[in-house]
Amino acid sequence: MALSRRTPSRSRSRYTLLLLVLTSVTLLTLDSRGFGPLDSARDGVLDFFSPVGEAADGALEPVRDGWDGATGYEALREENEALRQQILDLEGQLADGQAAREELVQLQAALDLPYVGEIPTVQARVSSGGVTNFDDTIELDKGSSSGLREGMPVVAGNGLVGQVVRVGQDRSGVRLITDPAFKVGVRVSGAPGLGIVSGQGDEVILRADSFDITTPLGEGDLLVTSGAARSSYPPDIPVGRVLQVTTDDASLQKAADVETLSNLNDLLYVTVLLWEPVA
Amino acid sequence: MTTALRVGLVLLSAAVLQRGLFAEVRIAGVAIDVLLVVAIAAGFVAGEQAGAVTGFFSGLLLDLLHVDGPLGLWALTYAIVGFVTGRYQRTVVRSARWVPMVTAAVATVGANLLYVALAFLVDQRNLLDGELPRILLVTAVADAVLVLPALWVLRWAWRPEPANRYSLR
Repeated sequence: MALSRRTPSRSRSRYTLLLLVLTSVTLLTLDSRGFGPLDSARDGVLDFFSPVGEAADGALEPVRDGWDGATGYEALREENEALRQQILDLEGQLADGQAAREELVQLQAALDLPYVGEIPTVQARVSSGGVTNFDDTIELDKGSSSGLREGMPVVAGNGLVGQVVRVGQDRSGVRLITDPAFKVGVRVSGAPGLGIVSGQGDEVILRADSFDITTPLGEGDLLVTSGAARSSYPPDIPVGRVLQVTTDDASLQKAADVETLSNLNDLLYVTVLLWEPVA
Repeated sequence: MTTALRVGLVLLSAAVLQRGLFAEVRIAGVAIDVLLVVAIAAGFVAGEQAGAVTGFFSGLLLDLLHVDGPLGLWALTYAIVGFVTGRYQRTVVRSARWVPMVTAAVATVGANLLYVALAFLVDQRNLLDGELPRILLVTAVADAVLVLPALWVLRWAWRPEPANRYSLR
């Protein structure tokens, strides 16, 4: 009797699971094809959780502070305060109107971004890291209202740190260069030959490959964005420094382990280059 | 308040906690996934069907909280984990406190490994690296602890609706 009562329940739960699996697969398929409404839903959630996140940030700050107190909170706080002050000083200087262009150059120099050149930029605060352990992303406190668009490069201090992949009105998401899905065309600074750098999921090490065997690639060389036609990045942005080179005689190609130029775990402020590839 | 509303409230609260607290306050560099704990607890409290449905929506919330990555992968993973936890819960005879704790730890390891496998199959992303053992260890221990308050909350969310005294047969 008990068995006959349980069987329909079990088969119903199996059908439920099947339905949920099919729904998930449908979502995955639509998302991989760039289905517009799903993108809009994700952008909407980004915006929705922006105030919720800010409120939670405030309410839960004592908890975080308590935890961080055991893991070097003070050092981070001092660094944060110093950077805030630096940004405020520079913003104050920029407000002087007539000398804005000159001040912008000073701002770039102060933030150590000489490679940016004439490309307009937006400074943004890193408001959050990845939500889980498997995503190399950060969230910024600037969005489309500040001129950010999907695909724009994000740099910090020494070089490239990622690319904007999602944009809400006042929030945006950045895929870091360490993410396995990240790829960028590069060349050796001051030398010919193109290659591709991709993330490995590692916090520090990237992988460069597809260099021709004749490319002069050596330990310590600086790799910069190639800026080749239809590239998603402007030329000459530093990407990483070569650690170790391997040569594959069979494929006549060189590859290398590459070290990131910035500590991606300690990013507090980044600069978004308002640059879009020429169609 | 209906069951759906209560479960929705629990999921939304868990998403806020995940976004505001657990993504930031990391243990040994590892983020605790409270939405997974909700899926496991739902399976344990209310059975396989409730576990699968709650797991699907908690995973979908996590997918939406992601700024990058395929939408639906966490939903698929958590639906399966919620279902399996609910199925396993049927076989549990003893009600000792360690049973849900061990279940949560094992389910957490299973969920992370399943996600890594699905990410490789669906998104060609290889997430097998040196950090995975640390992630599995820390999340398993943390989820084993967090499942106890989560069970209490999910019992409230999935409690049976009171019968309508004035309904006509």
